[in-house]
Amino acid sequence: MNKRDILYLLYKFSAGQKQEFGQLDATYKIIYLFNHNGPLETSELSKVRREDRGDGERLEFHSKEHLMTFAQSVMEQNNYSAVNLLTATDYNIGIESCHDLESLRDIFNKYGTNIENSRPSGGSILGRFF
Amino acid sequence: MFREEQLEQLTTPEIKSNDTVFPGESFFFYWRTSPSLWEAKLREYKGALPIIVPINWSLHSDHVDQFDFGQNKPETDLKRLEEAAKAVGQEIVFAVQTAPAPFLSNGGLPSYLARNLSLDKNGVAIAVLDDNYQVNRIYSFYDPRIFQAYRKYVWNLGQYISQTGISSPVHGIECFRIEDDHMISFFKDHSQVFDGGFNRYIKQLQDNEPDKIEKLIGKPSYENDLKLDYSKLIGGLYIEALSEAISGNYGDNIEVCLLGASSGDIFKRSNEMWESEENYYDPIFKSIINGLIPCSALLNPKLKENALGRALKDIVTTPLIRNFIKNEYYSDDSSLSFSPLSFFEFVDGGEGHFSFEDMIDNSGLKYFFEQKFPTAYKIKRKFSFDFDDLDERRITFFFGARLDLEKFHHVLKLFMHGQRIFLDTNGLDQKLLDKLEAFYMENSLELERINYISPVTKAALGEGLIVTYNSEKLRGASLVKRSGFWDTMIDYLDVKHPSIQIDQGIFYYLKTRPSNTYELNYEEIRRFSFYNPTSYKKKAHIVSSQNFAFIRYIDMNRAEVNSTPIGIDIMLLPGGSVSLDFGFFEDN
Repeated sequence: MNKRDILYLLYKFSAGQKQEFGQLDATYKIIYLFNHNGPLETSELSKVRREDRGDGERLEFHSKEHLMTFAQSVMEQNNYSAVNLLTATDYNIGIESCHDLESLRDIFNKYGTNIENSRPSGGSILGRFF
Repeated sequence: MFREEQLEQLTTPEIKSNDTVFPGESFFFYWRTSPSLWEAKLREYKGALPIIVPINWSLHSDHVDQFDFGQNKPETDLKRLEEAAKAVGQEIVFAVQTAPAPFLSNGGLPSYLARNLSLDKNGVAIAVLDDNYQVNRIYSFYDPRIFQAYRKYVWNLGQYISQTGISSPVHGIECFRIEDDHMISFFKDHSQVFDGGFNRYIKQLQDNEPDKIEKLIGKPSYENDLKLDYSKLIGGLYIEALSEAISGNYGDNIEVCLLGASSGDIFKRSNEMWESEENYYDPIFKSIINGLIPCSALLNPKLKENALGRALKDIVTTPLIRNFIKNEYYSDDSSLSFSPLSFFEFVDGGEGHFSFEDMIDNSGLKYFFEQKFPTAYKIKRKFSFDFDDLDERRITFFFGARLDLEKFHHVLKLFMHGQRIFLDTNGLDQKLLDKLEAFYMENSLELERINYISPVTKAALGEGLIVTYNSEKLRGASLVKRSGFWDTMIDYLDVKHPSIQIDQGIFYYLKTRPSNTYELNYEEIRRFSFYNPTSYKKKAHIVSSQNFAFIRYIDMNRAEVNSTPIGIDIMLLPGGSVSLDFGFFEDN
C-alpha cells in the first residue's frame, strides 16, 4: 500500500503554575487534526496505543515529546507520508500575511515542523500483527 | 388517512443568484459592481426582501479621519444606490456593522485599523474564507482606537444620511458563527486586547462596585460572568454610537449566522474533497432555531447550485427576514405567507450563556428534539412576552436556574393566560419553590404527582398547563431513558403532527401558514420540504395522520412523490428536492 497524504496537526501550548510543587505545568492541546479529506476519523486515532493518546479524549499532552510521539504514531499506524505540527502562535503569525488558499496552506509548510514517515510503505505480514 | 386532493405543480420562480453582488440570500454587495450597473442588478433581483445592503466601512475610509460618501468615488454614493433601488421598486435596508463583518476584508475594518487579531477560545486567530476563497482576518473590536474611529465613521455616515435625505432604514448588523453547537458572535474575542480592556474594567469595578470584586475573590468562576458583562458593555457602546449617529433612520440590530465561518471551517473549506453542501444544513436549521438569519455569503456559488441553493431559497424568505429583523419569530396571523413551524420554545433568559445549552443537553431535551422535532423548536434568548399576542399552540420550557422573582411571576402569568409550560425546578430558588406550592393552593389547583425518573407535578387551569420536573434527576439517567421521559411528556400534550421517516443524509424543513379563503376546510397549511444533498438515491416517508390531508407537491427537482394508503412516499435522486403541502384540520 502506498503512503497517503500529509497529516496536519495544530496545537496550543499553555503553561500554568502547579499548586503543589510550584513547578510549571505545561500542556500541549491538539486543536485540529486533519488530512486532505477532513478531520481524522476516530478509527484512525484508535489505532494509536492508549498510553500514547495523552489525557483521555481531550488529546492533551504534558510534554512536547509526548505530543510528537502521538503524532508520529498516528502517522505510522495510518500510513501517512508525513505529519506537520504547527503551534497556534505560529499559525497566528502566518495568517497575518495570508490572503488566499495557497498562502493559507503555506503556513504549515513555512512555520510547521514536518516529520517524514521513514517506515517503508506497505508493511510485511508480521507488521499487520505487531 | 390523508384526504388526497389535487396534485398540482406550483413551481416557485427560479431566482438567478450566481451573481457575486448577491452573494447570499438578500445581501447586496454594492462595491462588487460599477454604480452604473446598480439599477440593472437590483431590477433583476427576485429573492427575499428587504434587500440588505451592508455598508463597507473600509470602502468609505481609505485614510485616517477621511470619509468618502460619493464625494470622490462614485461607488461610495449610497444616495445614488437608494435612488437606483427606488427606481426599480426594490425595498432596501442599509446595515452598518456593530461587530466584525467576516464577509468583508479585515472584517470590515479599514486597513489602517487592522492591528490586533481577534482570537478564539483556543488562542487561534479568527479568520474565514470568503466566497472566492480569499482569507478574511478578523480584528478585535475591543481596541479603544477602533471604537474611537468607529464613532467618527458613524457620525460622518449619519451626517451624510441626513444631508442627502436617505430614507431607507439603517440597521446595525452583528455576525455569528456556530462553534460546538453554540452561536458565537464575531464580537467575542479572547485576545490580549480583550484581556487588557477587561483588566481596566475590573479596576473600575473595584472603585464603583466592590461587591462584585468580593464575589469574584470568593468564586473565581464568576470571572466568566464579569467577562460577559464587560463584553455586553462594549458591544452596547458600538450600538449606542450607531443609533445616536443615525437617529431617525436607525433600526435594531440584524443578527446573522454566517455559514462556513466556524473556526475549523477555514481548513475544511480549503480543500475541495472536504467541502460539501451536506455540511451546511444543520447550521442553517441551528441558525433559525436560535433566531438568526442564516447567510451563505461566504459560500462559493457552485456549492449552492443544487439542493442547498433551493433549501436556502425555501427557508430564507421575505417573511422570515422581516420577522427576524423585527425580532419576532412567529408570523403575523394575518399574513398568508409561510413561516417556520415551531411548537416548542426554550426560554434562555441569560441571553446566550453557554450554561443554558448545557442545561438542555443534560436534561436530554436537546437529544429528544433533534431526533423527534429537529427544526420545530426555538431557543429564545431574551425573556420577554407579549401577553396580548400569545400563541395558544406554543409549549414553553423554563429553567429554574434562570428565574428570579420577576421572571417567575411571568411564568405563572403565562400559565394563567392558558399557555402550556414545562418548568425545570433544578436551580430554582427555594423561596420560588415555596411560592409555587402556595400558588397551587391559593388557586385550588388539582395536582397530579408522579415519580418517573424525576418527580413530575402537573397542574391544569382551563387551557393552561404547568408541568414541573427536575433535570438534575434526569441527568443521572441514560440518554435512552431521558429520551423516553420526554417522549412520554410530549406525547401527553398531543402535538398534532405527522410522523416523518427519512433515510440518513436527507434533510427536511417545516413551515406553516394560515389557510386562505379557498382552503376553509383547513385551519392551517403545513409545508414539508425535503432535500437530498448526497450522491445517492434516498427515500422519505410521511406517515398518514388523521388530522392531515395531502394537498399538493411543488418545486419538484429530481424527485418522485407517491400517495399510498399508509402515507406519502418520496424518492429523491442525488441533489433532489421537493416540497409537500398538507392541510391541517381539527377533529370534529
